[in-house]
Order: sequence, then structure tokens, then C-alpha cells
Amino acid sequence: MRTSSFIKSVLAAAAVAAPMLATAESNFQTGAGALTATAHVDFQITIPKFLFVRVGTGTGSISPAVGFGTLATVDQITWAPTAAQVGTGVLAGTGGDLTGGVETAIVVGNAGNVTFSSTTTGPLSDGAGDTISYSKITVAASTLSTGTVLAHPALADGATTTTTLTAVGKIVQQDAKWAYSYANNTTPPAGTYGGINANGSRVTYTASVP
Amino acid sequence: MHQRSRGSSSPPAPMSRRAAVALAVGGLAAGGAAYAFTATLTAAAPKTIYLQIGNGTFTGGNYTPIKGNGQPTGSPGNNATINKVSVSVAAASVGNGTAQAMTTDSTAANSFWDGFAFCNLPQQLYIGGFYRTTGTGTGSVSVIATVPTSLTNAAGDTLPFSQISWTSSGNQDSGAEPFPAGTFSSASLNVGSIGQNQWAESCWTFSYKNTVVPAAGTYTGRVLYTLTAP
Repeated sequence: MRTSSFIKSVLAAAAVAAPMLATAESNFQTGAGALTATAHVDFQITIPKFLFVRVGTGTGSISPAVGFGTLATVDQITWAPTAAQVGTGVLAGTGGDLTGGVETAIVVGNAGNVTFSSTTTGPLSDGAGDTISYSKITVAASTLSTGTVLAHPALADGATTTTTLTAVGKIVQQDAKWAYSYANNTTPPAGTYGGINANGSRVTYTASVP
Repeated sequence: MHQRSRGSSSPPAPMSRRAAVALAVGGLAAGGAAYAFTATLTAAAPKTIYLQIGNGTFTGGNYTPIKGNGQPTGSPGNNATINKVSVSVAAASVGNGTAQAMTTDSTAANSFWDGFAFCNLPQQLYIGGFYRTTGTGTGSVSVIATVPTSLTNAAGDTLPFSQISWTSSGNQDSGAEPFPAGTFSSASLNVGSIGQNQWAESCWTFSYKNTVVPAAGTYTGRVLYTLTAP
């Protein structure tokens, strides 16, 4: 199982009709008529089982195909509405490896269907008892490079949301651009909610295969 | 008739291949071209073909020095060892488009023409042989590879054979190889030829293209090479 934290990327002799015939890997034939000599070579390619998940800054992509690596960078998505903006409607985030509150999201595996989830430890809080629910944060997935766009597992307070990525021929290769938005349809008490791995700020994305 | 940069034409001089190379280089200085390794045989009965890929067998010596009656010193034999060419791809590299070098379990580094250390192990797989007839002529015979569509693993997953290609060379070789570079691009593939009354050999270096992400597993497949003389 590979785990990704919000907003973090993690790597997670053949019979031939001829008068004279033999099959070997060195083979000689003599005679006055037609002659046939054969040899074989066995080929073997070993492909390891692997699973890769990337959310945000990371090492690896599907297109271009550059391979996969581990990078522990955790991105942060932020919203800082002005006083006049509070409660007035949806706001795009800032930050993310694609900027504007947008993250690269990738899952690649070669061992069948992938279980993919998001987990939070609770709502975002300001440390003073006030909270903003993760239900106020939505994520829109759009095409990055693959035909199948990687859907975002919905965010829920102190809960895990699980999806299944269906393999094609045991292969899962899905990516997307995830754009994070804050609903901004309430007026919370003033404060900074969440942070860097504090006050419920971190979302963990987990991909797993049997 | 291409004359290789080592060895000599019929009847070959009883010298080391390295000594012959020095002579060939001298010839090049006079304006000659360099060729990969082929050598002329003395026509002799019986008509004989010999094909070796990977390990092979000669008993009693190499083909050279050729005896006065045109017969080789050593006798070609059958060898049932089927060699394997393989690669294990690192997880971080699967499908990244960087070709992965394959290696062989063959122990055949030396040519049975003259014992020269021709191929480098384990990177290269020897392929060579000869086509000798009872008289002179300008014919040739081809080696045909019969290639399955895919390699398969124990679970039945497949990996196209077209992902495997090879380059061709040989120590002290230059110029066109008798068994040139190629890719398993079709079910039946001409992988090189041997002229009439000729010894020809190359060393193949295989690689896996690694442009796809296959299901996990160990994929295997066998290629049949056939040399037929009329």
C-alpha cells in the first residue's frame, strides 16, 4: 500500500519439412539434399508489481513517461478572503504545483483495480474551537493527460472516502488536474483554519492494491 | 565477399586473429574498407550448414586452421542448450521509455572459427554459422526468426515481442554485420544471411524498449531461428 498526504506526492526444434532436420542451439547438418538447422533463444522480461500515487509536487508522470519516484514535498492550498469577500461565494484556492489551487493528481498501478481514498482527521479548526467543515471544500477534476480522468475522493470531516479505480488489463493509469475550491457561503469566526499539518489541515490520499 | 577485419580468406593463414587484424588494418591504410566478420571457406564435401546461437559445440578444435583437404580442424556439433536473454525492470522505470539493456546466460564468448574472444558476456549473444558446399558458387542462405506475437506471464498477461530489439557488433568488427540490428517486428523475420562457402558471425545486444506499462509478472517467450540450405 502506498500513501499520500494532502497535498503531497509520494511514490508510493521445430519440425520443419526438410530432408535433414534437427533442433538445437548449435546445430549442424550435412547431406546432398536440402538442409535445415534450427536454434532457439528464450526471452524473459520481469516487471515488478508497483503502485504510484502523486498529488501535487512530485516525481513522475504518465505523459510524458518519465518513470516514477518518491518525493516527500507536501503542498499547501490556501484561501484568504478579504473581509468583503467572506461569505460571498466560491473562491478558488492558491498554491498547488499547477498554481491557482490546482494540483497534479496521478495514480498508476499494474496489479489490478486500485482502491483510492481520502482521509481527514476532522474539520479545519482555528485552535479556538471554531471549525470549517471539509464539506465546504470541493475538488473539480479535469483532464491532464489520460482519457480517464482521475476522480477526487470527496472530503469529509474525520472520515475516509474510498473509490475504486478500475483496471484495464490489470493496468490503472489515471491522472487529472484537481482544482480545489472553498464554498465560502458562511461567515465563520475570524481566524486561520488549518495550517501545515495542524488543526486538521492534512488530507491523506491512499492508494492500495491487493 | 566481405572480408572481416580479423581472420583471413580461404585458405586461412594459421595465425592468431589478432595478428590477422594487424594485417587487415594495414590493408585499410591502403584504401580498403572494413567489414564485420565473415570468412571464406574452402568448398568441400559434404555440403554442411551450421547454426549457433548462444552456446554451441565444436569438438577437436576450431574451424581453422583448415586442413589441406578443405576440412575444418574441429568438428561442428549439436548443443541442446537454449540460452536465455532477460531483464528485470526496476519499479521506478517501468514504462518510462528508456530502453533496458538485456543480458544473456550464454557462455559463448569465443568464436569457433578461430577461438577469438568475439562477444562480450553477459551483454551479448553469439550468433554465427557456416554454409559450405561441395563446389564454388555465389548463393547464400538466410536465418529466419519465427516470433510469437507476445511474451506471456503465468497469469496469461502479454507483452508484445516488438518491445525487444537488438544491435549487432563484435570485438574488432567494423562495417555491416552479417546478422544486423533489428526488432521483432513481425512473426517471420529474416535476421541475416550466410554466403555460400562462408563463415559469418555477429554478437547481438538485446534491449527492452520499455514503452508500455505491463501487468506485473515474469514474461517469457521463445524465438525459433531456422537456417535452410537448398
